[in-house]
Amino acid sequence: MRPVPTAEPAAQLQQRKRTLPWAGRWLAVLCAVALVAACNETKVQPADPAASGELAPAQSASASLAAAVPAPWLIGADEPRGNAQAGAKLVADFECGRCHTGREIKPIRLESHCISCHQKVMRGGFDHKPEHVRWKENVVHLTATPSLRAVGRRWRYGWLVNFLRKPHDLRPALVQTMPQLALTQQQARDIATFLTGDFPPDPTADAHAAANLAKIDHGAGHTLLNDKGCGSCHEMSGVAPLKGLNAPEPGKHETRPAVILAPDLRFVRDRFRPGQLTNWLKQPHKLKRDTPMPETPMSASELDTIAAYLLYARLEPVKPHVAPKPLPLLSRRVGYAEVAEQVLNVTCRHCHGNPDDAVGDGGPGNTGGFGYRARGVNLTSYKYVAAGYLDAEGARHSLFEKMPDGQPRLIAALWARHAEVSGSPVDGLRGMPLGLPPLKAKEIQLIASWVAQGRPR
Amino acid sequence: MKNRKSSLPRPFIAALALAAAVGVAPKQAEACGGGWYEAPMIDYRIQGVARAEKRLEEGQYAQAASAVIRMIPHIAGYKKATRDPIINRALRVLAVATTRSEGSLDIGKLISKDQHSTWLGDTAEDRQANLRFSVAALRGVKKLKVLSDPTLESELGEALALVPAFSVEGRELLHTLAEKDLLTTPEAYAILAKLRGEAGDADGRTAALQRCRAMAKDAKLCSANASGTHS
Repeated sequence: MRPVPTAEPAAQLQQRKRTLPWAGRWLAVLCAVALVAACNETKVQPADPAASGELAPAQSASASLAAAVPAPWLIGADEPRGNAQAGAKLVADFECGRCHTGREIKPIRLESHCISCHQKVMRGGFDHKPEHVRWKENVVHLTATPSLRAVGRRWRYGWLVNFLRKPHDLRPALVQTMPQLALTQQQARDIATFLTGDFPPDPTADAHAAANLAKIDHGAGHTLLNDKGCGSCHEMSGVAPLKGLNAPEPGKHETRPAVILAPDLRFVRDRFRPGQLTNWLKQPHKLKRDTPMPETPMSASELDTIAAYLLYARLEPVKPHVAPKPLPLLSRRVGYAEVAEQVLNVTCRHCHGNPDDAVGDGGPGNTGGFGYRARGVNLTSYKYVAAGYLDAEGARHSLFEKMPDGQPRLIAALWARHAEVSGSPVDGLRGMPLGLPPLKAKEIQLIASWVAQGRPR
Repeated sequence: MKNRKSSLPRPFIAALALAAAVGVAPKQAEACGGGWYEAPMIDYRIQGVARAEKRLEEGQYAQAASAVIRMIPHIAGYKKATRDPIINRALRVLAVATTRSEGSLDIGKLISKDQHSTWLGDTAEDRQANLRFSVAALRGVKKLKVLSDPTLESELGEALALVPAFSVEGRELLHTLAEKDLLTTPEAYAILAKLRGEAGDADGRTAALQRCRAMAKDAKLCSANASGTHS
């Protein structure tokens, strides 16, 4: 059974919440004070590991269980905690609120919130604009992103730090991936510390839970995943395909939020806190109120079997992304209209917009965003494409100036995205499009041919 | 008598009073002369300016300029760019259209006579006044830009080049942009070709004409005798 998606976008909800009458706010504050007081009375202080003679959590996790269980979920277990206060500021600076919502994420104005705007386009909120039909085609691939609620209850802190630093594709049906941000390791720690502040990590408990699950026979795990309908939304790469996923027709995009947001189950062992996994499978809404993951009736032994399978099933390695070979330049004439229609208007102009059309916001790739400074790249029309970009010192350069290898910068950035996805980012050159799959070789060939022909209109 | 303070905060009382007033008000507001109608505030200038920008892109300068003048009749009164982004966009459209028409807009039949002002450019003085308006408007808009904008600078270079007092500055600006491959319009390349030709720079003129031809929809714009304008 698939839950019905919320009709009202999350950011809109938050906006509405801000407009609660003042009396409601007073009441909320009083309730919160009472609740905090009650919690403080009943809070059990964790035992001091040093006093009890136990190892510190991270040490305990590494030392006692490294031999007993496979390594993946121990990755990052020794990652030092960061500064939550600095993390809160970084979350605002890096504009996590452009795509995500959550208790810890400050609401961003609606016009800048990608998902809310896309949802509005899809449900016809811009019917009065003649271009809205074309907009639908261009935004249908990004109509949902996971909310960042209850992060600490579900995800492992160490994994989160690594993911923030080196994001990768987690959700097969979601075209976008988390964009590569210009974060240092310490900044990633600060953000992860802030986001997991609701439920600080407890590697010892997780290690024991993982060790207990390791003892369970998970032979029936794959069958159970099929029987419980997990394959209706999830994929699990590296094992036999799960049954049940009705993929959209060829050429159409997936629009069901539950499917879009369903992660590849291969990554559960890397991401999830083993101590919370069975709780999650049993009652996901108890851990995360707004998850589209349904509650599926399962016995205790079924829960354990599935959890053990997710953590310990043998996974075949996935094929790494291999960048395609560049295609030869086209001999036929390529005009700007074709380049715009095939690539720029479809992929690029979302982030490289015209600030005059959007109350001064030209998108992250123009007026700045996601922690990136303004680069002044406007890809909305011929004359603006010719206007180049701003370098780190604020000087203007052409997008077509030659790189040391002779490639125009624009083309080099497109190939750099392939390198990023392959796991070997190009130093000093951010791959484009940010957070999207690399362009196909044919699309790059089209742009390269247009540039080589002198960028005819 | 003891002055008793209400336990409810004043805004709460005000909200209650407002709610009560709404509750007792007649369903049909005859006192207001009939029913209540929702009148959304729509700024029609936004679509209007966007259409004028499209006309400008298509080379229909008279249509673009007349649309702006009809929509904002007092636009010539703006001595400099304003805080209203729509006015600034309109100023830019009018300024560029005027430049590319060499200060003589063919809008006699498109706007009413009382709006003609100097726009038709009947005399040399009128044409120069119009071109000076273009320079002032584009300089003003440029000043307000947070990020450098070579597109706007190219347009300013075109306008400067046509006003004798600023032509040297215009040539410098266009030349600098062209050297960085940041000249964004074929019209600007056509003017640069003309200026280079006049300065005896044959190679520079050829290079500018070559870029102009690649960028222009209609190569006539870049003819050997390009004056940098076309109607």
